[in-house]
Amino acid sequence: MSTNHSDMQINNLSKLRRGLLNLRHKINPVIIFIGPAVILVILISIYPTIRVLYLSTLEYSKKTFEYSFVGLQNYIALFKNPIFSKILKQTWDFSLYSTAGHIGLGFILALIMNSGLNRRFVSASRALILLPWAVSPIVIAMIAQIWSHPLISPIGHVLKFFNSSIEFMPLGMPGQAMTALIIINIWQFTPFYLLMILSALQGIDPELYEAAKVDGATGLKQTRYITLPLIRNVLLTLTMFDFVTTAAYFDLIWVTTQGGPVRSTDVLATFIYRAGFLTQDWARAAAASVLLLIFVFIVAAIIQIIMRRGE
Amino acid sequence: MKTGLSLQQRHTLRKIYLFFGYISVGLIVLIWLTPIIWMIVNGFRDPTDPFFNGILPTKFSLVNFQKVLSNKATMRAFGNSMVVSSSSALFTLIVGCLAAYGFSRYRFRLSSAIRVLILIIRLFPGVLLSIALFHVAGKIGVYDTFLPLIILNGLLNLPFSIWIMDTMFESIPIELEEAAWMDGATRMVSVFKIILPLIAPGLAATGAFIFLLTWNEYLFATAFIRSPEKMLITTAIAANIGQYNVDFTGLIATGMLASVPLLIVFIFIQRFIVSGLALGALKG
Repeated sequence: MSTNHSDMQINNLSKLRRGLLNLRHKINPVIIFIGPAVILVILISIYPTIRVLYLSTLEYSKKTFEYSFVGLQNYIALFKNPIFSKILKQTWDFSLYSTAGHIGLGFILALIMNSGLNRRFVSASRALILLPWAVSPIVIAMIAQIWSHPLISPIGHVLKFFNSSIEFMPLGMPGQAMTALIIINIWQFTPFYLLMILSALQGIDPELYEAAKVDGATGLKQTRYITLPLIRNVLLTLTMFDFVTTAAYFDLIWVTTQGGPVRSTDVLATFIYRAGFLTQDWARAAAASVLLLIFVFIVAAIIQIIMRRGE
Repeated sequence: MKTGLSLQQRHTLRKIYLFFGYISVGLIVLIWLTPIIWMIVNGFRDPTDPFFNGILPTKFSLVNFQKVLSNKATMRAFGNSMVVSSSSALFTLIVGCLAAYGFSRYRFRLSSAIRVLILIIRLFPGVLLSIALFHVAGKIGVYDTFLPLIILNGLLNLPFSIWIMDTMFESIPIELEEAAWMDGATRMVSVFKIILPLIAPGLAATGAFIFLLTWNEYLFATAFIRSPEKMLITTAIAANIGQYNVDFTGLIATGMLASVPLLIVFIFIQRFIVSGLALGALKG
């Protein structure tokens, strides 16, 4: 018994030693290679999150110039504010319609481009259509401002040419501004999603389509039963990434409308920026950022679950 | 075959389909590029030819570009953007290259968990990071300097660049490195002397891509910079858009100078970027 026991100990010890040696041989270089990236990620994403969480439970007193703990007060105040629920709704709309546009339109365009057209023609068109994506949203905002100008907009010129009496200035109209921003966003970012979907389509084995043809499946049927199931996960991953990005979208909206007119294009990102950097209400901005982060992670989690279930 | 079409008829149908395919793709590309083409053409619009006159300029000149190039504030903004974007690209390339090499050459337990962790930072909203780090930047004395911009942009572009570089490293057989080790070279030597030269074009493309993304960024540039002389080109353009009396032709010329050179570079690098991004998305 006892010899057996010590044998086991020795055995365990040697295992441990081998493990440690392995550790030195395997882990050390890995730490050198991966370490900087991991440290940065933690420092610049996880730490700020904790900070924002903490900040969101504080309140700044203008009398004592000090922060004090108020628990969930900031969150409750946000939800009691009718403007904030309007902003949540608008954020959801912007995100939903933009994502639907990017993925839907991107998918259709990718299908057309992948339907047997000359490869060089396809890659040239792909490169060209991608150009708006590589332009800064600020330059896009500048173009959008001029295109939405009541006197000099090119679209306005066209309308005038057809003797239309419509006054074209979508970014200045509360009922049109959001739609205009969604369209601009779809225009700028669809090419990126088109590109990703097209690459996925080009990765499908052509023999699968040949086999389907023999079985009598053509056109839409092929799309439905071969293409879609095969690129389902790519589509879902892109949808998740897109939803999350558009839910936090800031640049174009801020530079064109700043959330106006009459707050009709105010979304979470612009609300947070204004609360923090313009009105210096950091605790409220922090609370809203936490809500945005929660929203983002819920969306990501739901899509992950859908993906797992389908496998 | 269910359909009763002859081979000849199928062939004709296919040709008609292709014809419409080419036309529609061509038209879509043209429509998509209209605003960009409009910007480029109107960059040459003579200031005496007001925009009320029509969509396209009737008088062309280079005056707008001369104005932009002789405007000290704008040129400084261009310079600042250049400094921030190239530092950010260099920073991401170094950190990303190390990480991508680690991921592609070592199998270790937390490998996929760490990959996911790095990907998750793409989910973090930029406004949240700005709100959280604004005070920190003030406390450690880097507010109103380029440092937070370089690091934050670099970090947010890290997942993309690790994806792209990972696929580049994996395309190089490990045997090539092993041969060098047999001859007594250390890992670092094999990386610097063998791998990096092989992937140099890809690295340059990745760097250019990060440069472009940082150049185009606006949120951090406006959140962390206050002094007018430290403005980047995006914040400078944004500040001009908001002005009451906008000089449209000058603004368009600035926007054009801020985007067109990069678009030309982009056309050359997109081949590299596309394959890396797409592979990354398929994996993720």
